[in-house]
Amino acid sequence: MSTTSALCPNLIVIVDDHEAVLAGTLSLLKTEYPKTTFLTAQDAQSAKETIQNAQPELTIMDLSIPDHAKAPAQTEVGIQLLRSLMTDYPQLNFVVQSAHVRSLVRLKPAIEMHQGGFTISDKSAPMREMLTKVDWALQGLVYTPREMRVKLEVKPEWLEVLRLAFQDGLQDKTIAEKMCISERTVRHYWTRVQDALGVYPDEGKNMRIQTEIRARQEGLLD
Amino acid sequence: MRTSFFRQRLMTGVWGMLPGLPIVGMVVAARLLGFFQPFEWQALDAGLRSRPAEPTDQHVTIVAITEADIQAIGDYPLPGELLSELLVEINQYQPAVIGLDILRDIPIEPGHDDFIQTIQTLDNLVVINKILPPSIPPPADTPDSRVGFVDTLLDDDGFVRRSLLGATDDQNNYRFSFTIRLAEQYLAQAGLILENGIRNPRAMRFGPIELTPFQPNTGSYVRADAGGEQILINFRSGPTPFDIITYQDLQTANFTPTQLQDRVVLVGVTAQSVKDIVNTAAVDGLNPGLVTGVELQAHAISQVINAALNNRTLLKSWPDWGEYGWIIAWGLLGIVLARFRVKAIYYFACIVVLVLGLIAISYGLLSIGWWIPVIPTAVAFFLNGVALYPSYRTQHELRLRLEDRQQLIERTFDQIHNGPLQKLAILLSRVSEAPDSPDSLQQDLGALNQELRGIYEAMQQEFLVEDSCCLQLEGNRIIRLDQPLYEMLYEVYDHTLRREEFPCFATIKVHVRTFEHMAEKGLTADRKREIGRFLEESLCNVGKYAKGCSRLVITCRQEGANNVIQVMDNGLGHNTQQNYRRIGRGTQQAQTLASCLEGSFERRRLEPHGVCSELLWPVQRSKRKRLL
Repeated sequence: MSTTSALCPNLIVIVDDHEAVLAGTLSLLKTEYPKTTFLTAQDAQSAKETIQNAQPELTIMDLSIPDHAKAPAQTEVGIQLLRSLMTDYPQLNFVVQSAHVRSLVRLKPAIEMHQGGFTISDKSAPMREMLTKVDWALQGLVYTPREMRVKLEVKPEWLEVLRLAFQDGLQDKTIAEKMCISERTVRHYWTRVQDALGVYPDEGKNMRIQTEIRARQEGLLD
Repeated sequence: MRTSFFRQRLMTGVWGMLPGLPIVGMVVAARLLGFFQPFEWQALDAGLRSRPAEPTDQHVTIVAITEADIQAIGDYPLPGELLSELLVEINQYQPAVIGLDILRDIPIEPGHDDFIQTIQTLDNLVVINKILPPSIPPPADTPDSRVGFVDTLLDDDGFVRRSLLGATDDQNNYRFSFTIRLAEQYLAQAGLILENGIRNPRAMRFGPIELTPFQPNTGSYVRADAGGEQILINFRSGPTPFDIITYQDLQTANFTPTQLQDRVVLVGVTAQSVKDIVNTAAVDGLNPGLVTGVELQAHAISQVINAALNNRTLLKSWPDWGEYGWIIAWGLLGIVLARFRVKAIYYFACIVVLVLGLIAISYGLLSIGWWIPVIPTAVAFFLNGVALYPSYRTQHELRLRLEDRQQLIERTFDQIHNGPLQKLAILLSRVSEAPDSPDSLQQDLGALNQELRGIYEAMQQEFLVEDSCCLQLEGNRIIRLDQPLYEMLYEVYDHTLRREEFPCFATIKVHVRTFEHMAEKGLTADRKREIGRFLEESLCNVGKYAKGCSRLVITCRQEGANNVIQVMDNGLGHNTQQNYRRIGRGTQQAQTLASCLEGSFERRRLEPHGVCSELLWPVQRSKRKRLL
């Protein structure tokens, strides 16, 4: 993987209440995205304000944050913040740093409805992986940890897209027309169903073909 | 979590009143049955007795024939000529009216004719009779307008508190009492005549003062006999309410003429041996609880005259709803106070102060003539304030402890999370990057990470069990109800499908599910819990009976004006009987839920195989049902 990404976001907001972790993340990201401005926030209230004023492309946030400075950090606060941000900014991309799968499971329907990218990264994973997740989020993709994908869960709309694409061989534009939705929504469905099938960008592999292979494996197309 | 605590407190706020309400109810019921009457009467007497003294009445004087007088006279019953002389003598001092409080239906010689003659000549003389059985007629040939009855009404405890102003005798003639006869004559001089009341045509009225008749439930009386016209007696307070001139005093001119001039002069026998006494505890006299008959008449007459001339108040009481409202209000005050979080000493001091305050208010009101219930009120207040207090304290302390525990759990986890777990995460990440670190180290660190997180989960579940705003599923999974409905349903779905004991889940390859926003206006926490259970039951149904199911379709969303929850599978039943069992089970509960939500529930077979369970209900429910 190249050291600098091809993407160049304008503004990224990082929300974390741990000074050490924040510093580490910042330095790593600055190397990866040299031209980007970074803003930080250490609690939910200031995060909301910062995002409202700055309108970033990406928000990297820890779930265990305090509601305001001097309050104790709680996972519940992070979840509420995430929920309200997803409602207020449907296009905003998210990277959520947490391994608290139980809480995130609740958000699965909201993640599916969200328009922007949404990836979940584990703090205990190598730093490289965090960068990958940031990159995927900026592309609008969805990544959820395997514990959240034990069984294959799809929405009826995604099945429709798969069928039209792989059985009828239609392009995105035509699929959009047939389903009476926008092209953007079709792309949105692609990202979600790819996460459900466990298909992610990989060097030298074509994502659409990978999706078809996995879909046939799971018996979604017949 | 903070909001649910307030909700809990509020719920106990409303339900917490429940223990106190029966106590108030019991007090009200006891009063309605009359159990409080004796106590309230005694309270009334005590109140009347302890009022500051009024000046001696200037309208009524008693001429008393005492024990000593009878001994001096040497003859009893008093002979007619003695009475005759006495009356004539009194009349010389020009009283306004004389009332002879001595029964004289049978002639007592010598001189009974003189006596009768005197009655005829003195036209400001009123004599007495008794009209209630056993009746005693007045002296012969007395004109009706100068006869008044002295029948006394006794309360159930034998005490006198009421004055009978008018009644029908056993020949169905309406008669006036001694009190009214005397008052009539006296007040006529002041230009006030006896008329019917304006507000209440049945009442008697002298000028502006209306004598409001006593009712069966006036004050603390419960279903008393209110026949005729009765009023409560507002006894004149103080040790010397009336001038008393004995027979001796009269003979020896040991009095001032103004004590007889222009007054109502009552003549009666106060000798102890004659025993013309009544029980009343409302008078501050020498003999506690006893008052001579003539003194009683004096009080009765004096109150009417003073009411008409000097605006002295008569005893009034609140209407029934006012009295019971007062009792209930103080009972509720007791309940409210019991929930106050103050130290026990301050609390009990406060209760005592309030009870004393209540007594002070009642006493104050009595001095201006208002008789309000004090005993049942104090009992209701005290019982609620005292009896319920320990239970509220225990509840309160329990709740405090629960809160403390929850905060401790949260603080503990957050401390673990913010320090050690973060460091552990960084450590893990560094270890996985370092090329020469042993695999076992990484694994061990990973396990440590999981264990620490596991502790929090366990503590979290423990706490949530006690929170009523949760749904508890099989397998010890607690789901909060205060999140959006579709998210709650998603959790139900997620957890139920992870359960190992259902064989049919294993074969499912694809889960097609839609969880979208559902309008949940008007759904109580209990309703949401039941909807969650419905989904759980439908999924368990699939898990248990849908053999060979490969595809599960779940839809939870709002379609148009309805909310829909639909579970479809393509499993086989082995035979039709099993299919029937599938459709029969759990349907009852689902139907009940559907009707509560004003929706519909259906479980039907699909072609070629499979079952569809569908619960549907309108978003806008009628206001009536919304309360459920």
